[in-house]
Amino acid sequence: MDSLSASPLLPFHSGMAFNSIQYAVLLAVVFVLNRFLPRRGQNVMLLIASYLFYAAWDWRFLSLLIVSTLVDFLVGGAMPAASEKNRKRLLTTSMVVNLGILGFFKYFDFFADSFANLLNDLGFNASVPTLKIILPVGISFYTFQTMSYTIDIYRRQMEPTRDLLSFAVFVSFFPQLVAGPIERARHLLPQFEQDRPKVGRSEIGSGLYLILIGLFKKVVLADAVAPVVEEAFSNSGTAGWVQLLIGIYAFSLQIYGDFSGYSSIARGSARILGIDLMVNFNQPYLSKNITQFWRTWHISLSTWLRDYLYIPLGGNRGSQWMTYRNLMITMLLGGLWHGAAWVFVFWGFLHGLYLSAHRWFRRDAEKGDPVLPGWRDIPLVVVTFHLVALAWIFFRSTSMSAALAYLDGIFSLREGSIPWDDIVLTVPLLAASLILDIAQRAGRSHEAILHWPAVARGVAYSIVLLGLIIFSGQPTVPFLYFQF
Amino acid sequence: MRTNRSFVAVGVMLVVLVGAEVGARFLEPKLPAPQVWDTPFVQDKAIRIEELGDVDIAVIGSSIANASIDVTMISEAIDWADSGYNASNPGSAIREWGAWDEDLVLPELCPDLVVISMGPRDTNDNEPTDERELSTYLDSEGRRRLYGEETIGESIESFFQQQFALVAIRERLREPRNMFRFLNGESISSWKARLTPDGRFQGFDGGHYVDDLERDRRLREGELRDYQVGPVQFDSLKDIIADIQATGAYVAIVDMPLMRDQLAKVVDDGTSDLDDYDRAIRQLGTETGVPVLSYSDMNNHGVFYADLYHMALPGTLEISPRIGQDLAELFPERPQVECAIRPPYGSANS
Repeated sequence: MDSLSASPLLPFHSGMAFNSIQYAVLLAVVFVLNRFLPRRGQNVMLLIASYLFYAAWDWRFLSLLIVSTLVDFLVGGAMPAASEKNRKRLLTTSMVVNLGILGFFKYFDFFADSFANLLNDLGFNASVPTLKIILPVGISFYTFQTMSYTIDIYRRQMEPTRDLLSFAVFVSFFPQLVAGPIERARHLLPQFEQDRPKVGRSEIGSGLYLILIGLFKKVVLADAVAPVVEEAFSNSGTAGWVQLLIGIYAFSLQIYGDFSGYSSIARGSARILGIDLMVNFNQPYLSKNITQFWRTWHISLSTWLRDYLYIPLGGNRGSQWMTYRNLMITMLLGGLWHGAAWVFVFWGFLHGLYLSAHRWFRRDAEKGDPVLPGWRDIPLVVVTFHLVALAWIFFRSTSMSAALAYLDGIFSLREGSIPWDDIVLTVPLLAASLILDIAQRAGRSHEAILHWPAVARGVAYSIVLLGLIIFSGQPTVPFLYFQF
Repeated sequence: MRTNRSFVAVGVMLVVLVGAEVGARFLEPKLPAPQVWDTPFVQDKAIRIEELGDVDIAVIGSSIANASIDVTMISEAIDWADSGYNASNPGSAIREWGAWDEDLVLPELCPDLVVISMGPRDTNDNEPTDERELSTYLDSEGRRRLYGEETIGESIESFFQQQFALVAIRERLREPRNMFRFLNGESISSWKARLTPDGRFQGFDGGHYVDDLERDRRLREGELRDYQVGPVQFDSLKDIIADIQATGAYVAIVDMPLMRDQLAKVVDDGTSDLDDYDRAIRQLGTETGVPVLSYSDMNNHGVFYADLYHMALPGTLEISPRIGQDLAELFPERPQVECAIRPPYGSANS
């Protein structure tokens, strides 16, 4: 096990990040080849590119990806002809393999540590060995994606594919392999099984636009405030309340810019290859309640949890208390999905609490796409944002005690110097993020700026380019969601 | 129609970008150059050393030498010398002095006399940050430029910095508040060191010594932890001296005075004490044939110091002419010097 012993974050400092020259070269080569190859050739090429992309992070874990692919392909293929009893067995096999891999690599050390701590708290002098296992990049994303395929076949919501190549590309498609969106087989798999329409100027234009906006969100909005976040969270026990407050706002911006930027680049990269990926973020910080926030934040995960966990638990079909219980279980496991640490579990607990409280006050479900909040909604948007930001403290802290020290610093109005540099940097970037979100929500499209009048569009492009010129070339900050 | 609108958008974009570049060209001369060396001190000194060319006297060392020695006063005291530069770098370890000398001091300044100015603070073999400081210096882009070891990314960045002011000042634009403060004449220590033209750091000038137990505790647990005078630092000094002597230049060691009694308390948990340091520095002088100048009569006079070993301006004004007089007596004639060979790729600053 020695060869796997390292810092759990180690693999994410290498590899092929979306904001790297290597990725630009890979995408350019794949784009050109994709235009000239027939469908099967395209799939072979995409599979090779995807495996190369994954191997650039850590070639040793390619085997896990292949095992996951083969197991679910075989299980899915065997299900239609199997008896009801065997269908269950097949589903169980898929779950055991996928959750077994995920459990071992992601959670073994966490539960071993927690067990040892519990025994020690009970007065036993326990020492439980941990393996210091490296977390394979993207494992939480692709295991959930392949599991949804098997579950959907089990539920007879889709037919299995007979095309291993298409299935392997579906599991490993490089733009969304390491940090989503967690696609559903029903949406993505047919796109690899059928001939794809020729990619035209409009798709290339909008794809490149999504990549550009994604880079802006990552490089300008997220990476620029990364030092502000680091400064606040690494001094949670000593920093003054103003710095801590700015630290939360900066982290709210960082995680949103980082993850939604990644998703935007993933969608743009896929689009120029003729593939449509689902929208993963829909201006979540404009939400006027927490339910709306979860309908617009990491949509591919929240809908996965809804369809494969919350609804099977009973959803809101039982009593009120059963609904709260189901919400809480879903959010606790959603928290644990993000990482093997109690801070993530507590983050999930807080969101379970928020959702239950919101349901208590307003039972009527909201329908349709969220619209731009009106003036009267602003207090609700502000309160919702601050509830989310409060929970981010736990999400970002390295331990519960650090998170509590952070909160103590804010609520006790701990004295400290006012970090004007951080304020001057963070506030305009928050404003830029807000303006971009408002523009997208008002235009009901992520590509709304493409339809603006020419002069306004020119100004918007200039701001994006100027931001990229100024903030690119800094030390690389790994995409935060690569660690989940 | 659609194509026309696209042209308008691109045109607007170009106008804004050109406007931004014009603004950046206006600001660029007023802002420090992009930092390619490990600290603003090293950056400023690397630029200045290349501007200066040959000088008669160079001082090397750490912040102790940098804050305490006015090289102009030394050159004034020596008949054959009329120029000098304090090339010592705050925060640098002895092994870094060796690399710095080979990289820039000996080939660019080509000094006739090198003064190694040091104290016990510089010679702890258990100094926890030595390795990091050395590797940070060795890995800095500026040094790698000297040896043609820039990465492709750095070369591209460097090319664009030369073509576009917007790229050249973008590091500064990322800190807007600091930029406005700097343009208003305020000192931003992370951007530009407060140095005299001959390289002396002025940050300690107005200081005065006070007992500070918290400072002493930090030193005891930090730089002076487990104080040990051993081979690591002194062997490096021998190498440095040999490199200088190979050019034909004179070398002198100045054993800097300090708040000795207080420092002795700070290092009293180590395996060595200040007497061990005294013996080691005398032995170094004997082994290398280099004179060691000592000013122990200035020890423990708080009026001379900003802290335990950095001199305030009164100390600098007292010691610098004395060093000059002693060196004038030791080295009455200008030596024959053959400049050290420059690193193969020339300038580190452009």
